[in-house]
Amino acid sequence: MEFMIEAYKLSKNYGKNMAVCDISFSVQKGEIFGFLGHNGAGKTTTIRMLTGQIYPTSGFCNIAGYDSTKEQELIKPIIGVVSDTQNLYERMTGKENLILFADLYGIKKNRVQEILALIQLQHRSKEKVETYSNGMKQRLLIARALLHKPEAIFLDEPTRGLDPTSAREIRETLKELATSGVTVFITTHNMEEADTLCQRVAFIKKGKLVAMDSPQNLKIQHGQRSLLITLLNGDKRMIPLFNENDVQEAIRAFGSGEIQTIHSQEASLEDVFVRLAGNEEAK
Amino acid sequence: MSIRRIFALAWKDMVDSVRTPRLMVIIITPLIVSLFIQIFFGDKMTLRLGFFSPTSTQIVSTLEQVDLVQIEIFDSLDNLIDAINNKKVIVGVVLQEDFDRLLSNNEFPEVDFYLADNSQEAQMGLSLVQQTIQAFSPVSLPIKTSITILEPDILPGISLRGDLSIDQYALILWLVMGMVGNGVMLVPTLIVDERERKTLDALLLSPASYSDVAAGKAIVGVIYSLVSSSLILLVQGGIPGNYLLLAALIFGGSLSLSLLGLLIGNLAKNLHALNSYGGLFVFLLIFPAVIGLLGPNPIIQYLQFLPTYPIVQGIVQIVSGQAEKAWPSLFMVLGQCLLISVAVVWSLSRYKRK
Repeated sequence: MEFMIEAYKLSKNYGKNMAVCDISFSVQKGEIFGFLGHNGAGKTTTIRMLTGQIYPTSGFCNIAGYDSTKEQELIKPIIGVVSDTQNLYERMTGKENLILFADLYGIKKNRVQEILALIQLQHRSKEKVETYSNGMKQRLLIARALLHKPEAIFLDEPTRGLDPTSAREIRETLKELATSGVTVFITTHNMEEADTLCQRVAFIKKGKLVAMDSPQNLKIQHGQRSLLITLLNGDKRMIPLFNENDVQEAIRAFGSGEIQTIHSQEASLEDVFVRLAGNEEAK
Repeated sequence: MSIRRIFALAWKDMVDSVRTPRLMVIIITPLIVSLFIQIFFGDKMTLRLGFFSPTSTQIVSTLEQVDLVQIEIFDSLDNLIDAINNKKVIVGVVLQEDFDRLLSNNEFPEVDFYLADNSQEAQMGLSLVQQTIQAFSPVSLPIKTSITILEPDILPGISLRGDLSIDQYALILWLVMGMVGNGVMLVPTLIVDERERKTLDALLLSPASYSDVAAGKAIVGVIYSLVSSSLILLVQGGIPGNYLLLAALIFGGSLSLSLLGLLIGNLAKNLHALNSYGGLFVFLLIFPAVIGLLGPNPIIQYLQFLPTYPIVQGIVQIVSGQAEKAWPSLFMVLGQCLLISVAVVWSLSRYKRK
């Protein structure tokens, strides 16, 4: 199995404040990995350590086998980062923003046109960024991160504050990227987004990893497993699904001919998150 | 460091700063002020001299050929005094009959000077006429002089260094203001702004290093200083003195002040702190161009430690026709470039990842 991102016993302290504590995980090539937690849980600090922007207090992290701390110059061409702030040059046009980074990476200018087409910003590329909507700015940030065709992209809450259409467009772009082999590491507050987008998610609480698995497994493992049956006479029955006897009972209920509706009572990822990471600011 | 990346970053900053109103103000203020002064007060810089002489004299014809001197001839002393009282002329000169012959025979002719007031302009007019008369005589004090100041209470005291005219003083002041504004205000603002907007994070995630970013900004400071200086020289009527040496001095001055700006930008915590202390830096740095160019005063000795002092001294020597004396100033400016570079490298090392 080929890992693109690896973190081992990664910790970061700011004085006595422990931002990240002893976390270990790995992300496969081409995987979409969600890193979920409350504000201040340590998501951004983790991204900053993984991308070599800050040194870990202890532990280490690798990107494509390169040490993020010691070989930052080698990981720079491999990674793309979309930070949680829209750090664009607002008084320059979208195209000028991309041309600057194309020059820094030593990329030919025609790649700028290509990427503008990919994020559907060609028609506004000659306008100043300050005139763009939030969604357009976010797409431009993603374009900037993808300009040099990175192998892994880190996105810190890329859909925060976006309208549903823009958020969906960004999710579609990320899915396409993963299909083409790019590893996607995303932090988000949006559990529904994580559920539909990510192959695996990790929950971080006060700097510590509290769970890591596929959304489906987490829901099965930590959620309620039951069926809610509404009978023709209006009565409702909850049938738990923990063992063979429960399943037999459900089958008997199906054969009774008295069922009006059946609802799966599978937990949502949000339920699991609240249960494991607490309910502070969960969305 | 990569030249390609540095110039890409410098180009970005040049484009970004001309589109940013507050940065544009820093860039163009010295030029606008210089243009404003030139347009609205340029004619007031001329020395208006009035002469009453019973016989014609070569002194008047000689003075008529001097730039920025306006001469009016009067047919009586009363008319001359009236013109001075009405401020039509600032210095009145009354020459003895047969003045030129008496002067050439070393017979010490009489000259009465009437000054409108004690202003800089009147003092310069007096000095100019005295020097012109002196030029026609081999003896050191060729005339008998009386000086009457009609309104002695106006503008007593302040005087320029003897080797400078008001126009030269203004030129040096605008040049230094341009270099200080672009170096010490624009460059650190570009750096701190980049940090505050977090665009620096994005740059540092690209192959660019912090040194590339800093060098790009220093280049912007130097380029804008040079453009500003060239335009100021143009507005003020061309390049005086040894233009190659003046260009070298302006380049060295722009470089040293832009490096100083980098140092300030690297040390400033945020834009608020920079705006609070930046004005103080600017005030201190233009001090040698304001105070240092005035006549002898006790403050000058304390200004020698400021990086703008050798720049001002060098330009003074060049524009006053003593270019050969400007070389030590140029070397001092280049030396301070080296010294500030060391401090900049130290400040860059503070910006390592934490």
